[in-house]
Amino acid sequence: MVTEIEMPSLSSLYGRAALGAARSKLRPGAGARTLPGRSVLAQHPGVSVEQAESYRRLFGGESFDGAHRAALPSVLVHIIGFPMQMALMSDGEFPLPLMGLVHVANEVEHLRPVRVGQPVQILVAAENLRPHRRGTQVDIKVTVLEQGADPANADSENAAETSVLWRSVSTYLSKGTQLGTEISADSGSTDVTRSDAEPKSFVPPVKTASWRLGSEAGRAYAAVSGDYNPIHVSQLAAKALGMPAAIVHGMYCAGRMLEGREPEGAGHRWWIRFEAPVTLPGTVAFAAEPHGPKAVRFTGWNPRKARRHFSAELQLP
Amino acid sequence: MSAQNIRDAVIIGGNRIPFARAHTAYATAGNQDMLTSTLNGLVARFGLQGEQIGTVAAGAVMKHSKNFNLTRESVLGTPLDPKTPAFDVQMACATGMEAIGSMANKIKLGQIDSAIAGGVDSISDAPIVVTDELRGILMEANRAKSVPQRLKALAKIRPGHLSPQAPGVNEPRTGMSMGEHMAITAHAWGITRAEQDELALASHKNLAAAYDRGFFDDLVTPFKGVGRDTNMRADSTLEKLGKLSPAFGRDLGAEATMTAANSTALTDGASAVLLGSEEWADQHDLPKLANFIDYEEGAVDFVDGAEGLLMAPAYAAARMLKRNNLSFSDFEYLEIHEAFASTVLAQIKAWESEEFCKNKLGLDSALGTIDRSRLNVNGSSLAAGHPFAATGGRIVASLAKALHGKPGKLGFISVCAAGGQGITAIIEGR
Amino acid sequence: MARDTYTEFANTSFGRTLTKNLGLPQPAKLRRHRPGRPLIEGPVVVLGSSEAASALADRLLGWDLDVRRNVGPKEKVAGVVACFDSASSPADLSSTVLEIGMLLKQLKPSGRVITVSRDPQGTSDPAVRAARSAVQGLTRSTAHEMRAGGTANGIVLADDLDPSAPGAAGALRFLLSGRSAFVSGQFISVDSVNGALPGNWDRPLQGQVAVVTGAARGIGASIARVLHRDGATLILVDIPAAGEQLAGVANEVSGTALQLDITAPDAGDRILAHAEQHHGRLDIVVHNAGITRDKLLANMDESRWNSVIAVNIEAQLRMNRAFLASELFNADARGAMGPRIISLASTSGIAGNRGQTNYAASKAGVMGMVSATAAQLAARHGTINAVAPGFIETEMTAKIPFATREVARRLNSLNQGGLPVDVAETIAFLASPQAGGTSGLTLRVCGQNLVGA
Repeated sequence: MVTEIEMPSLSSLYGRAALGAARSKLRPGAGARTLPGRSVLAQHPGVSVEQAESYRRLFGGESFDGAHRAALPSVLVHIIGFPMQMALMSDGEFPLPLMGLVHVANEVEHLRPVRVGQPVQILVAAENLRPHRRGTQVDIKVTVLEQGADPANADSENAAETSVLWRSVSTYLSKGTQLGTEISADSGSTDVTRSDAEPKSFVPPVKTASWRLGSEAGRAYAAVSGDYNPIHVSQLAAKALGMPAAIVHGMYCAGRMLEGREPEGAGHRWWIRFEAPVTLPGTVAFAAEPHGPKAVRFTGWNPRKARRHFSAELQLP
Repeated sequence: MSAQNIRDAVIIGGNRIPFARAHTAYATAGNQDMLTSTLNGLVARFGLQGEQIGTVAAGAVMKHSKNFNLTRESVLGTPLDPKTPAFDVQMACATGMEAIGSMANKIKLGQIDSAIAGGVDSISDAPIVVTDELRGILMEANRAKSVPQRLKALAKIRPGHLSPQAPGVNEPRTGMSMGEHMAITAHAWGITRAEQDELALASHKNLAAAYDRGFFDDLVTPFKGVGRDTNMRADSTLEKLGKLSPAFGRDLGAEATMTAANSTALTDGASAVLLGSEEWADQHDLPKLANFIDYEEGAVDFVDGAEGLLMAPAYAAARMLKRNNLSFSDFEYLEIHEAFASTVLAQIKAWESEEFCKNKLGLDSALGTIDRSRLNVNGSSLAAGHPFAATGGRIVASLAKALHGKPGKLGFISVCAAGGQGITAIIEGR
Repeated sequence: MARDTYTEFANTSFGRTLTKNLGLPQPAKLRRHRPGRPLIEGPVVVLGSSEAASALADRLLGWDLDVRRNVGPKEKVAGVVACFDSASSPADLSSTVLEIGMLLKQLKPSGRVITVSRDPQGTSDPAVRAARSAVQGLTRSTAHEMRAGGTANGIVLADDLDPSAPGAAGALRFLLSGRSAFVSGQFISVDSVNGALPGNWDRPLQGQVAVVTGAARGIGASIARVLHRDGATLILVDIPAAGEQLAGVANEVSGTALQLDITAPDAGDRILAHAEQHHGRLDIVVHNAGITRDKLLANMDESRWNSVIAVNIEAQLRMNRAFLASELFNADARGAMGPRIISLASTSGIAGNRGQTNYAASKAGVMGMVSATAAQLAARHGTINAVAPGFIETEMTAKIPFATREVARRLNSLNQGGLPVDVAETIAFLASPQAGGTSGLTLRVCGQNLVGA
C-alpha cells in the first residue's frame, strides 16, 4: 500500500518528535508492535541550485557547473529523502520513539545520476524491525525514482529498465526499547550491521587525512541538510539526551569521505557503519585504502583514543 | 646545454634577509616590507639603482588580499626603474624555485635580458580570515540595498562568528599538516630518529661555519637589526636534540621520530636572485656565478596516500637527470631542501632503492647514491629556517656562490612543496 | 645625530637677544656648501704684494669673484687672503697683519681669513723660518678671535713651489668655500705641482671610483653622500651586521654595497676584486671605519685594546699594502691624478683623551701611517692624508652624557659641534684632483678645538 503525501517539513516533524518522546512506546514488558505495512510516496521538485551550492561549499567540492559535474552526490540525494524517513518514523503508528533513534548504518546504491533541479519521486518504507542486544533496530528503505515512474517498480533488480535512480537502506537503533517475541532476532539482519560481531581491538590503518571538526560542524551540516536535530546543533541538548557533547551527523562523515570519489556517471554502491559518535569539536583520523581494483575502504577513528567512528566501503562500477 | 639558439641564463648573485623565527624579530613586518628590503639589498649589492629589469617575479605562500600585486608594489618601493614589470608567482614552498626557473627560461629564450626572482613569507603577519558564516553575513550586508536590509543581515552575527580563523597550513584535501604527512612517509621508509637528528645537527653546524667564514657576507643583508638566521643553533649537540619529544606522527607512539629540531620551524623571511644574459651581465660589469641549466616540476598522487606528500622531487629528479644524461655522481654539490630531515632522507633512500626506482620511476636500477659530504654543505632549512616562498632564492644564490670559480661543476637542487609538488634544478658553476 | 637645540635656539631672534644679554656663547649658523650657490658672496680682499698674491688674485678673478686690493671702511667683506710668502723676517709681517686687523670688523658672517706662507721647514735661515712660523702663530690666534662663524686658516706652500700650482688654488677655494665651514686655525700644505683643477667645480670627482669604509651611518654615510654629490662612483663598505643601513646609503648614492669586516685578512683584496668587477678601476679610498672601546688604562682589558687597534689602524695598514700592491690602484693608468687615500684620524690622536689610550693610540698611528705612506704614493702621483674630526654631532657623540657633551661642543672657536658633512667636505676636498699637491697631512675639522671623541 502506497500512501502519497506532500513533501514533509523537517522542522514540523521535529516538533512532533518532541511530543512523541513524551509518549510511551516500546517498553520492557510492553506488548509487541509491528511496522505499519505501508510505503509513503512524495513528489520532490528536485535539489535546488542553492542547496547544491551550499552542499558544495560545505565539503569544498567541485562546482555543479553542469559541464564537469552535473550529478548530485549521493549524500545530497539522501538529504532530500530524509524528511520522508522522518515523516515515516514520526507517524503515530511507528513502533519506535523518534527521539533517541541512533543512525547505525547506511547503504546506498546510486544507480543513475540525479541532476540539479531534476524532479523526482521519493518512496520510503520501514522494514526489518528486529531486536538488538541494546534495543531494537529498524531499516528505512528509500527509493528515488524518476518523475512519473511507477513506484511499483521500486524493488526491480533491473534498475536500468526501471526508473529507479537511487536506493538506500538506513538502519536505526532505538536504544533500550524491547520488542515482543514474535519477531525473531536474526530476521533481516543485513551485512552492514555486523558491527557487534567484530572484535573490540582496533588497529588503525595508515592515516591519509585528518578532519578537524569545529563546534559549528553540526550546525553547518544542519544548514545544508535541514536536519536540525538538537543532538547535532546544541551542546546543552546533546547532554540532556545523554551524549557527552554535540555530535556530528553520521551522514556528514559519509558526505566528506565520498567527496571527489564518486563517479559522475553513478552506478556505484557504498555503505557506512557508524560506531562511536564524533563529538564536537573533534578531530577524526581518516584512512582511504584501496580494496581490490574497484573498491576503496574508509575508516574514521579518534586518533587519541584509537576508537573507530566509522568504517565504510565504496564500490565503483 | 640543449637546443641551439638558446643562450645561457646566468645567475649573477642574490640577496636575502636573515630568516627569523615566526612571531619574533619580524613580527610587525609584512611580506611587502620584507620583499622590498630584500630587493633594496640586491639593488645596493649590484648597483642597480634606476635600472629597468626585464621582469621581477616573486611570490608569497601566505598572502593578504591587499597584497594582490605584492611583487610589483615591492618593486615600486625600490630604486629600480619604475618601468620594471613584476608579477606574483605561487607554487607553495617551490614558489621561489618556480620564479627563478621560469625567469631563467625567459632569458634563455631571449625574451628578457635580466630578471629578479624570489619569494617572501611571513607567518607572523599571515592573513587572518573570518569564519565562512560571518563572511556570508558581511557579504549579504554589503549587497543590501537599504539600511533595514543591511541591519537585518548584520543582526545575524553571533558572538561565535567573531572568532578569527588562522590561515591553514594543512593540506586542504587531507586536513593533515605537512609534518603528519611526512611522519607517515618517514615511517614507511624506516627513517630513524638518529639519522634525522644527525642531519639536523649537520645543518646547524654547516650554516654556522659558513657564516663564520663570511660566506654569507654578500648573500644576506640584515633586516630590523637581525644579522643572522635566528633559528640557527651553532652550539647544538646530538644529546640536546635527542632529548626532544616527537612533534609529529605522535599516533605512531614509540615509533614517532620527528621532533621540533629535525623539522623546520615556522619562519619569516625573503630572498631574491638576480639573473641575466651573458651580455647583460658583461654590459653591467656584474659577476657571473653560475648558469641556470634546467629545472623540472613534479607532482605525486598523495591524497589517498598512494605516495608521500613530499616525494615529488624524487620523480622530478629522475626525469631531469635522464633528460640531461646525468647521474648523482656528476654533481659537485647537492642542495636538498630540509622541509624535514626525513624529507631529505626519504628522497635519498628512494633514489638509492632499486625497488622504488624500478617500480615507481620506471628505471632499470637505482638512481644512485648521494655523497653526504656534498649535501647541503652550507646548511639548509633546518638551521636557516624556511619562509616558504623564500627558500628557492636562498638555495640558488648560495649554491651559485659555492660553485663560482668551479667552471663546469654542477649543483643539484631539490625542493618539495605542498600539494604533493616539487621542483628539482641543475646549475653549473663558472 | 644629536640635535644642538641650543644653537637652534640661539639663532632665533629672541634667542639671539637672550643669549647675548646673558653673556652666553653665541654659536652662529655656519655657511655650508650647496651646489649651484656662489663660492663666496661679497668682496674678497687680497693683501700683500708677493708672487703668491698676484697669482692667487688672478685665480680669484678667474672664478668671477669680487676681488679687491682694498675696500672702504664701511664695506662688508666676505674674505681676506693675506700673502706672507715673501716675508724673510718677522718684521716683514706687520703691515699686512695690521691690514687684516682692520678688516676683521668688516667681515660678514662666516667670513674667511686665509694666510698664505711658505713652509718653515723649507729654509734653514733662522730669520726666514721665524717669519714663516710667525705666520702660523698669528693665523691660529686670529682664528680664535673670529666671530659669527668666521674662520682663519693658512695655506703653506713648499719653499720653491709656484703659487699658481693647482694645489694652491684648490686649497684656497676650499678654505673660502662653505665646504670648510668647521675648519679653523688649520694649515693646508701644498708640496707639489701635482693635481689638476676640475672642469666642473661642482663635480670634481666625476668619473672617479671611491671606496668608503664604515659607510652605513654617521660620518661614513655623510662622506658617501658628499663624494656622490661631487661626482664619484661609490663602493660602500661596512660590517655585515650594518648591511641594512649600508644598503640604504648605497641606494641613496647609487653605489654598490660591500658587506665586509675590514679586519679580515683578505679585506683589501675583496675590495679590489669588487672594484675590478663593477668598475674596472679604483681611485679613492676613504678609511672611515673605526670603533671606540673607552676605558681608563688602569682598567683596560685585552679585547678593548686589541679590537680598537685592529679595526682603527692595523686593518688600514693591511688594506693599504694590498691597494699599493695592485695594478688597479695605480696612477699610471689614470694620467694626471694618482690614487688617493684619506684616513680618519681624531683630535684624540693629537691631544690625547682620558679613557682613550687605545683610541688615541690608533688615531695617532693613523697619522704616522699617513705621513710615512705619502712617499710611497708620491711615486704614482697619489696622495694620502688624514682628517681629524673634533666634536662632531653623531650617533656616537650623542651617547656622551649631556653636560660633558655640552661642554665639548662649545669648547671651540665656533662655539658648536661640527656636522658629519663638515668632515665629509674636507675628505671630498682631499680626494679631489685640486688637492693633488697635498699629501701626508693630517687636517683637523674641529672648529679649532682639541676635545676629541
